[in-house]
Amino acid sequence: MTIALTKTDTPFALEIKNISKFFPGVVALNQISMNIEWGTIHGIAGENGSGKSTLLRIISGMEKPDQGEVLYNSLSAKESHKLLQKDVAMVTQEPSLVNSLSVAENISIGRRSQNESRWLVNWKKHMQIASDYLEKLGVTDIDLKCKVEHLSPDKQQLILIARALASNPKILLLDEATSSLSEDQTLTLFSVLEELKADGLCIIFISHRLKEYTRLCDYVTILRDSNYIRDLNHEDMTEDFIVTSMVGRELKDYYPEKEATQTEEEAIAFRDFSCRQVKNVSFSVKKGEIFVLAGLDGCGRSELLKGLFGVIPTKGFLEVYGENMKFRNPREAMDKGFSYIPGERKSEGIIAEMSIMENAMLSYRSQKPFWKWIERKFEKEKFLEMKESMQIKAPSIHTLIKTLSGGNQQKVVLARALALKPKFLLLEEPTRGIDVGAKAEIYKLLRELTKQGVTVMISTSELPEAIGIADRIGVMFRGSLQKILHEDEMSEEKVMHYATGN
Amino acid sequence: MENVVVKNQLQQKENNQVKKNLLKLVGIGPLLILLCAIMSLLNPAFLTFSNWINLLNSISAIWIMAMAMTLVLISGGFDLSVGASLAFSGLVLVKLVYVGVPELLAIAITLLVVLIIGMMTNGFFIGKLGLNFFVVTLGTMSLFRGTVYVWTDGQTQYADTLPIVSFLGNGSIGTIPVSIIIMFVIFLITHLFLKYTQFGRGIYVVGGNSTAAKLSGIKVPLILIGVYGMSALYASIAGIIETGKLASVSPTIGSGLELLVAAAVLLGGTSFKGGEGTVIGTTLGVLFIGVLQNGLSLSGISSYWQEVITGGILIFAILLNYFKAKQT
Repeated sequence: MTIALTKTDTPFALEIKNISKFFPGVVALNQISMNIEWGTIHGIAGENGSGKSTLLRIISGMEKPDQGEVLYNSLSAKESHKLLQKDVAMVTQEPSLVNSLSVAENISIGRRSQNESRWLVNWKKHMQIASDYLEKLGVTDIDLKCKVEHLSPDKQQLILIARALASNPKILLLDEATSSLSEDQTLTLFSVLEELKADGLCIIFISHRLKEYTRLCDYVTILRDSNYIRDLNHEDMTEDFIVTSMVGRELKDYYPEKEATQTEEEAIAFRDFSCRQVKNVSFSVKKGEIFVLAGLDGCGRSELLKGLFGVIPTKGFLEVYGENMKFRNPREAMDKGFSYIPGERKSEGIIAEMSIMENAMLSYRSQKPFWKWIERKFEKEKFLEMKESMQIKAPSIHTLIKTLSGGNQQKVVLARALALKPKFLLLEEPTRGIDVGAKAEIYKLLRELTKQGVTVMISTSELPEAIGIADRIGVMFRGSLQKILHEDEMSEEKVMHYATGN
Repeated sequence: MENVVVKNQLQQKENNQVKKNLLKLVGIGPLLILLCAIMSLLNPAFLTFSNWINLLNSISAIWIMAMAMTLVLISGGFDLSVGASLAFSGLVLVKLVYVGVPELLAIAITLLVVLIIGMMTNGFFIGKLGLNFFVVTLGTMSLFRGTVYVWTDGQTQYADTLPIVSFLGNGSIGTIPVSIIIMFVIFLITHLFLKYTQFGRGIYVVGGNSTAAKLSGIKVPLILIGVYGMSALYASIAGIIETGKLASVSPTIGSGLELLVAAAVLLGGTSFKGGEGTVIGTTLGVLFIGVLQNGLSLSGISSYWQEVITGGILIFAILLNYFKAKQT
């Protein structure tokens, strides 16, 4: 099953030797070793938070490993540093386009060093390069002078890929490069990748759609909880086997049992509800239900929650237990019993320089008049109780939140919302970047809450999560609600089917 | 295998801890002690009681303003207009007394007016509308200073017939000048306020992560309006004390002071990125600048050179902060 490492005469493109990486409170990579050959497409699979993106960043040289090293062409990191910088192109998960620049400039950024003039910009050449590569990727209906911020997510992603290709890399790293592409666009990309592979390029590929691994990759390396699990070559690859390797246990004990906690009472009803990308959505959520919004990035699911919580302006009607409402800011929503857990924990969730207790007590405090003294003793008791019941693992209540692992940080943010005893809990990507154990605990907690009559709405990009926890799934596509799936008709295929506009 | 990794990690953490503690030692407190030691060696007069009273008296205005500037920096902003506010409040006070308002009432009105102006201009534009703090306070700085010039026609206004104001600026209770007492009381109040009230902690939250603050239901605009209001209020208190001290208001008083105040706050370990800092640190920063200037004056170094040296030391202190931050 593992690849035989006999061919010592032909050096590998990349040899990864005992790489470890630590972040405060977590081991992100634990002694990973693998080899990657020229002229292959090598997949790295693992759940969110298993360390695959970190591994890719280390390979690209963006981050340094704490232990171990990456050999490029049998050269050590020190010797190959300059070379690697020139030869590697990476498409990152986070959009890294310069929003205020045109399409053409964004694509030719990577190319600038090879332009004939050191000082002057050759606009004509920029345009040429840009249109060449976009055409290759099947994009023809795009104005090269248009600013990229005005483009749809799929176009932006293709521009990112075009930029990587334009730099003529020998090693191409794709981290979730297909996440917002349609089926057709993905197929075109794959045929380009096959061509590049035939030219001898080494391509490393990460995706959240498992069938893309089986379709495209020659080898797949599986990571689980920061550890190397196994390599699969093309013949051994089946989606099921990849999943069991990734998860390492049956999915059943991962998600709490779905009990009928929902009632028939309508808790939240949207009528012709619009905000930013969301267009005229009408549906209702029942009391005590876990309603999951699924769909591709940019489909409007996170905007819908933000609109509901009053973060962004909305149009249309919103009824909460039959009462017409409109929230102009989060504060008003909170006064009506809503709580919101943002998707970007670091930039929207935690106050990095503050203790876990203060982080957890933020919302509770904000309900008090601002001139009041802080109720230190009461807060301490309250937090200790929550720390215990939610199993937040931290040395003390005064520990700075930034030193905790993602899972524990997320629990603190959850505690902040729960301190208000909300009637409605809105969560975005509730388990992004946290380890398996913490995930299961959070799922359990959410189910417990619904038993107490709390209505939960979740927006997630992870299909297994959506299916595992939801009572109903609302699938969104380009701002409209495409389909509501009930429990007996949920499957990843079905969700993807509706999420891509069918 | 696992054990080795964990052990290594622990070892690494320990090493970092040692380094961090070493850096803590080179923070502003020890530097201040070092500076005091040097100054007292250079000049025996430095350590005398009367010199220290002198020293504290000379920095009282900066200290008071630095207290509020600390809040502003913690909230993630900056206030360039405090020097102009100082001049403006002195002028309002003098003008009020000129038209026959009783002195105590005039002081109260001045404080109130400047507080409201601070909230309505800086506070409203930055907190409510979300405009950039640098641009807004640059504008109000010019606005206030310009108003002072227009109102005084560039002439110094004399305030030598104001017993209460002059008591605040020059009087003393026992051997302790009133301005030092005021300064100390303000320091205590601000410290307690920042540490133990909802508002005070809210400032840290807003500065640390304003998106998270908003999503947690904290009234971010209100807190920012309050912070810039306090900044103006404190500048106004400093302005009244300065007016008493000099028995006059010159239209140029306090110009450039905002930068000295900011220097003191930054020396005290509050950072521009917001969310961290203490008024105790700021106090040490103010003392540092005071000791430096006092010591250099005692040693007969010209005020021109003093400025050069202050600048150099400020950059040095910021470098220290940078290395400290890099460690974590």
